[in-house]
Amino acid sequence: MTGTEEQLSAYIDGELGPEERAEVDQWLARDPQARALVAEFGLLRGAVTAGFEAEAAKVPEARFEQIWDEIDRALDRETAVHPSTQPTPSLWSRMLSVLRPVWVPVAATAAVAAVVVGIVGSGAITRTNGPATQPALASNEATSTSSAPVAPVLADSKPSVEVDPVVPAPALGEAEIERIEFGSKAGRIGTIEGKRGTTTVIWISEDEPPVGRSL
Amino acid sequence: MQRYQRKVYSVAYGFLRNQEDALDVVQESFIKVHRYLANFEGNSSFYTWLYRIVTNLCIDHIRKNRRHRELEFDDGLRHDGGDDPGGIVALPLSSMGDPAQLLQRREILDAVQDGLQYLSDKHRAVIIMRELQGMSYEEMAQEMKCSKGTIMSRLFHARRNMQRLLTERLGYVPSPATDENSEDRDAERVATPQAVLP
Repeated sequence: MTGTEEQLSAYIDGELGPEERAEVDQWLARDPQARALVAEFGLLRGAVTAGFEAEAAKVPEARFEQIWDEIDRALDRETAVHPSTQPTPSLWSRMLSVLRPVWVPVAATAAVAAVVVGIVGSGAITRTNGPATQPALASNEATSTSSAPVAPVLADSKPSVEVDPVVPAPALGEAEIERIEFGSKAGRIGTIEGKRGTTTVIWISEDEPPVGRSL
Repeated sequence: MQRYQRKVYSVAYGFLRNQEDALDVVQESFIKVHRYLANFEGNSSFYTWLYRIVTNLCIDHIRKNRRHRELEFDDGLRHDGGDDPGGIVALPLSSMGDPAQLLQRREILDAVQDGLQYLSDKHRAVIIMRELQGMSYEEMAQEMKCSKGTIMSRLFHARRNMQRLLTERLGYVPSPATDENSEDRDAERVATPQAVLP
C-alpha cells in the first residue's frame, strides 16, 4: 500500500497513529523515493531550526540588555500608574498587629490604673467618717457576686491585683466613698458617676472582715 | 527568563521578518508574562504559554500592519500548494552533502531565511509553530482554529514550498507540478491574542 506524502510529513513529526505508522513503515521499506523525501523533510526541519538560531545569534547581547532595561522601566511605570489594589497598611495598623497579643491586657490595666489615679488625684473622693481608715482590698466574694463592674482595686494605694482586661474602663466622674450595710455585712464602697449616666460601684473594704479571709 | 530571549526572538523574527519588530515583540511578550504570570494556570508548560503569547502578539502585529505588507496573514495563496509540485521530487538539500555540515553552511541558513520570507503567513506560521515551538498538530489546530487534517496538509505544503524555494535559491531545478491540492485554500484565522491571554 502507498500512502500520501502528507502522511510522510506527519510521519517525521510523530503524528500518525499506530496503524498509519505501520502502513508508512511498509511503504518506506519498499520505496526509496519515499525514504528520500522523509530524509529531505528531516533535513529541511534541521535547516529551518539552524537558520533561526543563526538569525537570533546576530542580535548582540547588549541589545537584549536594552530590552530588559525597557521591560523594567515599563513595569515600573505600570506599578506607578496602577498601584496595588490592596492598600498598604498604615504604620499604626502594622504596629497594632504586632502589639495585639500584649496591648489589650496592658491597655485594660492602664485604664483601671487611670481610674484609680483619677479618683485619688482629682480630690473628688469624699471620705465618710467610718472606723476603717486603712486602705483595703475589696473582697473576692463581693467581686464574684456582684454584677456591677467591681474589679477589686486598692482604694488608696497602687493597684496590685489582677483585673479583668475585658471590663471597659468607666468614664471618669466624681467618686464618693460611703459606708453601707449589706445583709450581715458592712463596709465601704466607692461609687463613680460615669459621664454616660453609668455608675461604677467599687467594694473597698469590710468593717469586720471574717476570720480566715485573706486580703 | 533571559534564557528564553533568543528563542522568543527567533519565533518573533520568523513571523515578522524584521529585527526591530521582532525585538519589540520580545519586549512586549515579557511584559505580558510579568503582567499575567499570576494568571498562568499551569495547564500547559511555561514554555508553551510563553510562545502562545509571542505567537499571538506577532499575529496581532501582522494584522495591525497588514496594509503595509505585501501579504496578509489570511491570504495564504501565494505558495499554498496550487503550484506545488506533486509526487516525490528531486531532493536539493540531501543531495548537497553531509547533513551535519550542511546545516552549518551560511548560504543554506540564509536561503532558509529567504525562503521563509516568501512563504505565506499561514505556512510560515505552521513551520514556526512546529519547528521552533515544537507544538503538536492538536495544539496547532486549536491555535489556528482548524482541523488536525488541515494542519497536516498545511504543514506538508509549507515544507514542499520551502523545499522548492530553497531549490530555486540554491540553483536546483524543482520538479514539475503534477497535481493540485486545494485543501489548504481555506481562510481560517489564527486565534486572536484575546483568546489566549486572560
